[in-house]
Order: sequence, then structure tokens, then C-alpha cells
Amino acid sequence: MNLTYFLFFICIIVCTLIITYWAAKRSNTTNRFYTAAGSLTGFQNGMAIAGDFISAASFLGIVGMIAINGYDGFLYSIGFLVSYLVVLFLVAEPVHRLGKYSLGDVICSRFPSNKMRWIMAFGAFAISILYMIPQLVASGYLLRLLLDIDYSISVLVIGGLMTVYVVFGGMVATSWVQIVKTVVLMSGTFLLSLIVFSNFNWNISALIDRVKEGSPLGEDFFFPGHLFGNPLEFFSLQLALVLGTAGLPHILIRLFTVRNTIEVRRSLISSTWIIGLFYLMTLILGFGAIALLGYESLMATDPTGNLAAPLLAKEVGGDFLLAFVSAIAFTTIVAVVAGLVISATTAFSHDIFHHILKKGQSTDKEQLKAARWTALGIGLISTLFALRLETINVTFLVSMTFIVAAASNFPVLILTIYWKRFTQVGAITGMVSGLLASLVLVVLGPHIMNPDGGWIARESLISLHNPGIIAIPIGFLGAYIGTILSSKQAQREEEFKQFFIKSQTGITSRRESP
Amino acid sequence: MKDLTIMLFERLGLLLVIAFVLTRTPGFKSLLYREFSWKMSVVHMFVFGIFGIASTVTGIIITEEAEILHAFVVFPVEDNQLIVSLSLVAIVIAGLLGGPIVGLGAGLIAGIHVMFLGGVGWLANGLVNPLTGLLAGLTARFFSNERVISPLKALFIGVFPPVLQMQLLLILYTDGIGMVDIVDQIGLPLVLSNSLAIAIFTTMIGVVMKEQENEAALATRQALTIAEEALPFLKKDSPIEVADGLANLLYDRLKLAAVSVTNKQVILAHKGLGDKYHQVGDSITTPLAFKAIKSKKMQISFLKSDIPCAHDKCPLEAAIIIPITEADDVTNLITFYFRKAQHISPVELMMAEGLGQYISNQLNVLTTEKLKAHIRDAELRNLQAQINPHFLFNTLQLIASLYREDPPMARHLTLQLASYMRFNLRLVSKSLVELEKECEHVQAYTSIIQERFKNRLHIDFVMPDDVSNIFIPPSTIQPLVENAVQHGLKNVANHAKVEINIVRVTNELTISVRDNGSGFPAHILPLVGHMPLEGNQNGGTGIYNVNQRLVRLIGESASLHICNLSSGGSEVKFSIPIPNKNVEGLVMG
Amino acid sequence: MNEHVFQLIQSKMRFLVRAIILVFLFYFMLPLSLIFIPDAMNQTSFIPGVTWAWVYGFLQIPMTWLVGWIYHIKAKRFDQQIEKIEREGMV
Repeated sequence: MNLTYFLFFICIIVCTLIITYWAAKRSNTTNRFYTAAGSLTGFQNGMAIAGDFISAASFLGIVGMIAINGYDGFLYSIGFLVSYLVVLFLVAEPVHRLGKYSLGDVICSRFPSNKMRWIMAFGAFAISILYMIPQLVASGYLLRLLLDIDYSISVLVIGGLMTVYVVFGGMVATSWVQIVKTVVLMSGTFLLSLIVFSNFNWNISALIDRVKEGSPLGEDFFFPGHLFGNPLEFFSLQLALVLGTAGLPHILIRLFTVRNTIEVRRSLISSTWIIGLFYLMTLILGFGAIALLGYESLMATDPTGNLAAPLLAKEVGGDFLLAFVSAIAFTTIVAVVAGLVISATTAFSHDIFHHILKKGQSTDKEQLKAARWTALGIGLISTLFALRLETINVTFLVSMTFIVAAASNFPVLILTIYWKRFTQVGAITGMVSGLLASLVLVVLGPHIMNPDGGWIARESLISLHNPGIIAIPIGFLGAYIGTILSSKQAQREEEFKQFFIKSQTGITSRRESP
Repeated sequence: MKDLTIMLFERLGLLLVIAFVLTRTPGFKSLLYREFSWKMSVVHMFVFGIFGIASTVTGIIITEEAEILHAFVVFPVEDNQLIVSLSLVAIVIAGLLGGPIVGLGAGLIAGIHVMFLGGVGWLANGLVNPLTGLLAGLTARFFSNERVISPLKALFIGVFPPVLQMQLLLILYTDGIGMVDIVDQIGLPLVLSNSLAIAIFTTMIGVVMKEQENEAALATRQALTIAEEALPFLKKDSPIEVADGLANLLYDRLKLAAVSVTNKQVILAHKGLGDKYHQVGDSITTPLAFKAIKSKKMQISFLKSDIPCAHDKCPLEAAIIIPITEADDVTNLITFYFRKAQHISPVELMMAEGLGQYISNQLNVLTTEKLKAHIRDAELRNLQAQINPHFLFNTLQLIASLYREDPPMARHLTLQLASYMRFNLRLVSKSLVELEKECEHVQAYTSIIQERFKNRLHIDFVMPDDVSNIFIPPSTIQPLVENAVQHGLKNVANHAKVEINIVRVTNELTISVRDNGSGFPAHILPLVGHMPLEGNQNGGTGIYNVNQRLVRLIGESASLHICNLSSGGSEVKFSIPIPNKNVEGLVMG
Repeated sequence: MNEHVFQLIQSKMRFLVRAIILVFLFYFMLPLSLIFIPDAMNQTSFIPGVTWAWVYGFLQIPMTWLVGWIYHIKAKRFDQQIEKIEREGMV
């Protein structure tokens, strides 16, 4: 048993490292390290974005949530998907035109200042770490399932591997690993869904009937409301999800890796197709899991639902399929983590090191070294956090990240691009208030403050699992207040007009206003 | 699972041995060149499809009780048995090398075969082959910056087809026998064995490609060396020397059984086997040779009867005849001989063709160079032939004035003038004349001059007794005399003297013209002969012209030596080697 | 030239705003309807065995694809117009 997994695992790891090595030989300049020098086509980039986005949360967490809670789990899928339209319409093209390496570039193209860079970098940092934690948690679970290793050890192993990987590979490697991973993930999931279907002799109603049998909710399984008792939760969750992607730095910097705006649009549209298809398949997997495994056995092995998909694989395909699906999940995690580390290291090494500490004077080699040290740091911090969060479904953790992104980056980004009167002070207050609000509300919420098993063992102060509906308006409010208070600093109308035109069309007018 | 793994590796070992032998055949090597042609693709499809079938035959059968049967899979199996076929290796290779279409075709062939054999997984096994072929081909397109994919990448790719196969088995057969258990059992062994086999096979192919590239590189280097070394031989004068040199060079470098160089009628040189039967001077008899001469194209003979050799005992059996053309006409044939027809390989054919082209080109270049020299010489002579109008004018005046006073002298001068002009004409038509004629030319000139400057100038003419068989470019002495008379004696009123000496010393003939005039002005002296001097009455250009013609025709050794004499006056002299029948030869006989 | 460009951008913005509002409406009606009319959502729809809740939720996916596609086409036209202006601006 163990031998099978081990061998398969080694195989995938080795292949990943080979691709990294191959890319490491070519990523010698900062440009290549950061953004694969504009060499990807729209569709390839779309696959890479999908790869970056579909993390353990989507693959493992959502399947588990659908299996246990039915409809409410599906809401996550929908929210994740529709958010791409927000990106496509409001944010994608301006970001592509205004920036080069990081989100900091984008905001600072309107408000150039060191303080701005610090804040943006910090925000990116925080979000990346928050997104990374669930990945490491999921991998901990995986390894525990497969090799019977202790959760903490597996987290340490994965964290270390990831860091090594990114330190030597850079963006090119992650781009291609994302693409390879997307291909493998989609085909593997597709085949798994086919297997599930064939188990019911291709009869959907048979599947649905078994689902009802398997779940304690019985007939009610398909009704919404099992996860979110409070109706406000629905709305709050959807709000955070749909606005969050537009504030995720590691997704947005993928808009720098293509050459022109047509490819940007193509990337995003391709990703929506891929992600949409993927969520359809996870729906089937979720149903299959509850139908074929049954509620009790699922709960017995893993009450968080994180392992529903691999367990399903084992049920329909034995250890072989279990090993394969786990390998896919593992690759997924590898790819996403790599992408996150890149975005965080960009934030630090490009924004802070290059612009601030070295006043734009550092050499490529120095920047590269800084980037690599940052990667190391990030890997360590997230691993440490992940060690303490063993009991949560990873999709929850990821949605936390979405709240933070939607409350801090999103308002600032939107207002920078579209609001005439927005000022630098407003941007800063917006970011700070959004960050603080979301973090505080999450800490005070029922995930962290939980009498049994949470970090803080007390009754939660706020009953919303998903405090998006509070945090996001606070972010906007903070930005607004900050702007009002500093309205004297507002740019002249003409300046904003030039900026706006540039962000919308790429045309930089060279005429100076008299 | 361990037993199964080992058994699969054993079977795969068998396959790999066959594959290795395959890669040693020349037919396979042609497979690797990606020139696209429908015919080649179909051939490839069949080859790999059959390889796939062979792989299935060397596969194993698993029964319901999870027992492994060792027999080869030749006949259809029972319904509750599963064929574990190794055909995916062949199909993946087909796709990687030949592209999606070849992969698909080969996969179809192998897939249909497996389907016929039946058993539990017949549909899955049948489907997975064409699918894999297609996907492998598409992947190859994707990575196609290398001609043959690297073994490492092939290893990675090779992991997936068996996984696909397992999944298809699971999809298509969920009821009935415990497919899950079977997949568990055979999954990993298949993955391991397949991917390794694919990687090894890819390495083998890489080795073959390297070999070919090395071969090509060596052949190229050899060809370039030969080209370089052949050049000095081509420049030689006598055809025999050229032929001999070439034959030796080619025989040494190319490891042929024999080389011969002929012209249109006889053998000029033969080096190597069979030189008893192919002697220098033997005439050419075989039709193939004549065909080569007529068609101006390379001819290859694989039969002894076609070779230019009539003797039975001659060990040479095959040949390549290469015509060498000069100005669109075949002047020579170079023949490569072989002991056996099989020794002729594409390398030799390419070399022959290339060499033929090269030598023809070189000869053309050399011809062109000679032609240019020819033309230049003709130009110069044309220039020279322009008679000094003042000389003509003065001479005619002289004749007219003597007409009444001294009719015999007038007649004499008229005849001399005619003679002079005749020589000038000859100047244009020939590049070499007999020394006697040139002396007559000079004498015609000097007698006119002597008469004109009767009391003021004395001309001495000394020549050896035997001047037979000595050739000299026309009008090389007369201009020197003309120059001496005009410039040297410009400022001398009386007692002007011009000495013309022709002296013969063993193999050298020295001609010198001296005057006792004012000599060459110091600033002109270094330029004379090297530059056409704008002088009056053609004089300046005359010396330049003579010098050019002498140097071009005979060489630097024949250039003019010009100096001022210490006793006053100047001397212009030059030497030519004799006997100089060769000189004639030099001038494109 | 500046004015012309600005006008173009305004028209693009108008389209975008309308599109986003539409998307949001369609999207947020889902949770809102789950909150306010849960019983209606739980009625079986025209597909047997599938409730309206599921149909509605499922429809979000093709909606995303369709809207994305429409935007792609519109934006390409917008790009072409901008290019034309740029070229004229140069000349």
C-alpha cells in the first residue's frame, strides 16, 4: 500500500522539480523571474490563471462541502466563478496597462509614494499568506491520509518543498507548472466524474437517489440552508466572493504576463471556461462522494470534509486511483503555493527593496537575491501558521482571504481607477481600514473564537462566519473619509483625465496642459 | 504486484531488444527525418502498429482469480480474463516521432488487434491505443522545438497513458469482476514499466540521431578538406600532372578501391586496384563513359559490364563516373571504382556529385582568369599598335622630300615604312612572335629614323647569330628604341647614339637599349614602366605598355630594368628565359 | 483628439456599467431569493427532480460565459476604434 503511494508521489514530485530546473536555467533576469517576459498566449495564460486560482480549496474543500452540506457548498463555486466578470469588466485592462510587476506599480502610477508602496506590499503579503495557509493545511491532511504521517510533519515537508521550488524557479516555472497542473487536474477530474457516473450506470436519477440515501439530510439535502443558518450569511458570502478575486494580487499579476489587452481578455475568458467546467465536475464529485461513501464513514475519517475527493477516488478506484487523485491534489497545491509565493516576493523585493530601500538603483542580481530571501521568509511564516489550524475546512480559510481582499485591495483599486477625487491619503486609509476590519472581524468570528477547538476558546463576538457584508463597506468608507479629509490634495482634473485615458486605452498623451 | 512488475519488465526487455535491432536497420533511420509525405506516414503507421501488435502478443493475461498466465497472447482469450498489453509503449513512440496522425493510425491498428482478442477489458484496451497515439502526437507538436523529445520528458509523458488505461477500465467496467482490485494490481507496474520503456526507447533513438549527425559532420569536413587540397593541382599546367595529382588525392582521402582521371579519349591517371588493366594512355571504351560525356551528368554503374574495363580479371565491379565540364563541354571524367556494388553509399554519391561540381567550377574560374589575362594582353597590344602619327607624318615628309633628290632612298624608305606597318598589324593578331621578326621590325624602324636624322644619330644593333626558336612578345624592343630616340636624344644636337644589344647567355636572352642622352628626370625614374606617363607622342605610355605585357605574359622576371647611366644617358633592359616553348603553352595554346 | 478619445471611453464605460449592473442583479438575486422566497425556490422546476434553486444556481455558470463572450467582442471593436484614432492622431 504505502509503496504504491510513495512511488507515485515521488514520480510527480520529481517531474515538477525537473520543470523547475529547466525554468531555473532560463530565469536569470528579474524580468523573467517576475513575469515570464510576456511570452504566454492568452489561452495559456488563462490556463495558468485557472491553475493559480483552483487551489486545494476548490478541489478538496468544495467537494467536501457539497458532500456534507449540499446546496450551500455549490454557492461557493458560483461566487468564485462570477467574480471573474468583475475582474474582466472593471479591473483587468487598467491593471495591465498601468503596472509592470506588482499591484503596487498600479496604484503608484497615480499616487507615487513610498508609503503607498509599503502599504500595498504589506497587503499583498498578508493576502498571500492567508491564501497559502489553507493550502498547507490541505496538504497536511493529504499526506496524513496517504502515508499516515503526522499532520505537523507533513505541513513542514510541504512548506519546505514549496519554498525550495520557488526560490529556484521563478515565475516561468510556476506559469508552466500551473498550465501542466490545469491540464492534469481537468483531465483527472473529468475521468473521475466519468467513473462516478458509470458507477450508477449513467443514470442521473439513480445518483440523486443514492445521494439522498447517503446523507442524513435525506430529502432535504438539495435544499439550501444547511450550512448557513443565518440568511444574512448567504448575502455576505456572495458579496465577498464576487468582489474578492479583483483584489487578489497573485491573480492580478498574471495580467502582466501577456503582451496586450486582447490577450488579457482572452486569458480571463479562457479561465472562466475552465473554472466553470471544473466546478460542474466538482458538483458531480461532491454528489458521488456522499452517495458512495455515506455520511458516517466520511465524518469518521475527516469531519472537515477536506478529504472527500480522495476518499471517493479510493472507493471507486482503489489505492491506485487514490494515489493518482492525491497526486493531482498535491500538484494543485504545489502550483498554487508557488504562485502565491511569487506574488508575495514580488511585493517585497520589487516594491520595497527596489523602490524604497534602494531607491530604484538595485541591480537585477540584487533584486533576485532579495526575492529569493523573501520566498524563504514567506514559506516559513505560512508553515508556522498552518501548523495551528488543523480543524477547519480549507474553503472557509480561503473565503477569509477573499474577505480581506474584497475589503482592502478592491476598494482602493476601484477608486484609484475610477474616482476623480480620490487622494493618496484616501487610498492609505482605505487599505488600512479594510485590512483591519476584515482581520478583526474574522478573529472575532465563530471560526477562530470557538469554545471547542478554535484558537480562542470563547464564545464568538460576531456570529457571522463571513463578515464580508460588514468589512467591505468599512473599507469603502475608510477610503471615502480619508479622501474627504484630504480633499485639498486632490489632483487637478486634467491630470486625472490623462491618467484615466491611459488606464482605459493605453494612450499616453504627451501634451502638457498649459 | 512485485511478480507482475518483474514479469512486465522481462517482457518489455524482449520488446526493447527487438526495438534496438530495429534502430540498427537503415530503414529505421530514414524514419527519423521529419520530411512529411503521406506515403512515409502510412509506412510508419504500419511499422509501429505491428510493433504494437507484437507488444500485445508479448503481454500477459490475468484471470478472474488474479492469477497471471505466462503464455504469449496469441489467441483470443476467455471472457473473464484480462489482457495486459504493452502496446502503449509502441504507440506513444509512434505519436512522439510521427505526430498525431501516425500515432492515431498505429493506435488504431494495435487497438483493433486487442479488441479482437477479447477478454474483459476489450473496449478499454481498444480505445486507449488510438487515444494515446493522438494525444502523444499532439504533445510532441507542443514540445516540437527538439527533433526527438528528450528521454526525461518522455518519461514524464509515459506515466500518463497507463493511467488513462486504468481509468478507462474503471469507467467502462464497474460491475462484474472486481475491477478495482485489478486496477490496484496492475496499475503501478504498468505505469513503471511503460514509462521506463518509453524513456529507454527514446534514448535509443537519440543515439541513432547523434550517429547520423556525426556521420554527416565527418563527411562534410572531409569534403571541404579535399576541395582545399585539390586547388593547387588544378592550377598546374600539364593535364597529366593535374590528373595524377587529383587521382592520388582522391584515392588517399576517400578510401575507394580505385580512382581514374581521363579526358575524352584516353586515361590520364589511374590509382588503386586494377591498375594493370587501366593504364595511362588506354583509350576509353565503355558506353557508360560516353554517356557521361554526352549527357554531362553523373553516371553510376552497378554492373561490371558497364564499367570502363574489359578485362575479366579486374577486381573492380562498380563505379561512379563524374564528368568535369569546362565552359559547358565535358573535358574530363573522374571515375570512382568500387569492388562491390554495395559499397556505394549515399555518402560516396554525394561526394562524387559535389566534387564534380566543385572541380568544374574551379576550372571555369581558372579559365576565366586566363581569359582575362588574354583580353588584357589584347587590349595592350591594341594600344601599342596605334602608330605614332608624328612618326608617320615625318616619315612621309621625308619620303616626299627624297622623292626627287634620292629616288632609290625614297623607295627604300617607303618599303621600310610598309614593313614597319605590317609588323604593327601583326602585333595585334599574335601575342608572341619569333625573335627574328621582331628584329626585322626594329630594323625597319631604325632605318627610317637613321635616314631622318642622318648625321646626327647613330644606331648600333647587335644580335646573336642563332636566334632560331626564340619567341618574344611583339613590339617590345621597338618601343624602347622609339623612346630612347625621342626622349633620350631630345636635347642632344649631335653625336647621338643608341645601342641595341641582344645577348644570349645559356637559358636567358637579355635585350638592352642604351642612349647617351640626358637620361630620365630623377622624379620620373621610379615611375617609368609602372605608370602610364602622360608624355608627348605616346612615348610615356610605350614603356608602360611594354612592361605590362612582358610581366603579364612571362612574369615578374621579365620586367623592364630602367636606369640612368653614369656616363650620361639611360638604359632600358629586360631578360626572358629560353627555350621558351613553354611560354607559348602559357598563353593558352 | 483628446475629446474624441474621452467620448469613446465614456461610451465604453456606459456599456460596462450596464453590464456590471445586470450581472450583479442576476447574481445577487440568487442569495436574495434564497433569503426571501425560500419556499418558491424549493419547488421542483421544469426539470424533474431539480428545484429552482439549483436551476438558478446552475444558470450562473452559462451566464458568466455568455457575458464574458459578449464583452470580448465589444471590447475588440472598441480597441479598433481607438487604434484608428491613434493613427489619425499621428498623421
